[in-house]
Amino acid sequence: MMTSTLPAGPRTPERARNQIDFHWLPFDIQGQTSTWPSPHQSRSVGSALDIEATLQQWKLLRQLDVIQNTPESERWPNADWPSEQAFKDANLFIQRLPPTAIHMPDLGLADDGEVNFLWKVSGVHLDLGFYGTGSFSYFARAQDGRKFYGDDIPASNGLPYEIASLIRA
Amino acid sequence: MSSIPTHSPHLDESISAAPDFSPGIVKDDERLLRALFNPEHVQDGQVLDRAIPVQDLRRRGFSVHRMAHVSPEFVQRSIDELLARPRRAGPWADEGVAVLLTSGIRTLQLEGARAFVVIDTAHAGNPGHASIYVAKPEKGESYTRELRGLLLPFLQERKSVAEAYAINGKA
Repeated sequence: MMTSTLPAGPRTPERARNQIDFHWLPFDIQGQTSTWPSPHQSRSVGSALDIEATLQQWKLLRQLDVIQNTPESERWPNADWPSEQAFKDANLFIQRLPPTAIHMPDLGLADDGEVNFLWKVSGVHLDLGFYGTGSFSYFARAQDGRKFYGDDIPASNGLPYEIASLIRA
Repeated sequence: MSSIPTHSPHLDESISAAPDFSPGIVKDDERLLRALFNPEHVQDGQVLDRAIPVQDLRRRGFSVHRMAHVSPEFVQRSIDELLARPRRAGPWADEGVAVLLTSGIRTLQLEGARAFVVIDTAHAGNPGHASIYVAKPEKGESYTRELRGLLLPFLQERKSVAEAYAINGKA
């Protein structure tokens, strides 16, 4: 197992954004049933970019885990906290992201209990979120002005190909 | 299908949601205030899409203060109370208040259809409370995500509470 040399300290979103703790690897990528190729399948020898992209995906999962475990006293007081199912759906969604192919999103919570993913990449805007219904919705605007809408998409479906192609790294 | 209810109390701008407390329906020339905080709503100086919650626009109401009916002291106190909460990760930061002109919100359109309504939602704790809703909540979350993108530019320019009221007094 890989280990981290990071100093001990409280788990905060800020730490999650800036640090990668390799003690925490909550899933087995090879065990997933995603339609996207795993990092191990995509290329026989991972390039530095592949490794960096995979680390970004792990970092995103770590950030979600830290956010989910934010003590109640540390949470934004005027907000509905997302349901456990919303975090679960978001976790599954991240695992189904193609880590070697796309930019990673900004992750955060909205005041209405949404786990939100936001991509602003090369003129593309993609706003996507989970409310614990087992599904997600999104709106995307491509650089050329095309619009894409999605409602009630099962979390297990992952990001649709046409949307992933907009945010290709 | 989503199990989240989609209906707000009502979408009729000519009716107060709470006539017992209300100073009257929201007029087109009224200015509205929305307070924003870092890192919940603003990062690197930019207001994020999620600062305008989808379910607020669809059913709960995106809360704003009616400047004509809420004192600057009340607004500042509500901000100070939020910022006073202890937080190990560091304090939340006041990112100022955005000032929205009601007519500017009511005239926003998407593909020829009106985008938002502004409703008087006074309550005992704040008679100057109003709410912004999407005009067509039945069109789904993705549609509301697009609409919140229309509202976002109205939140990008922010002032202190004192500055906002000074400008409102001159307007």
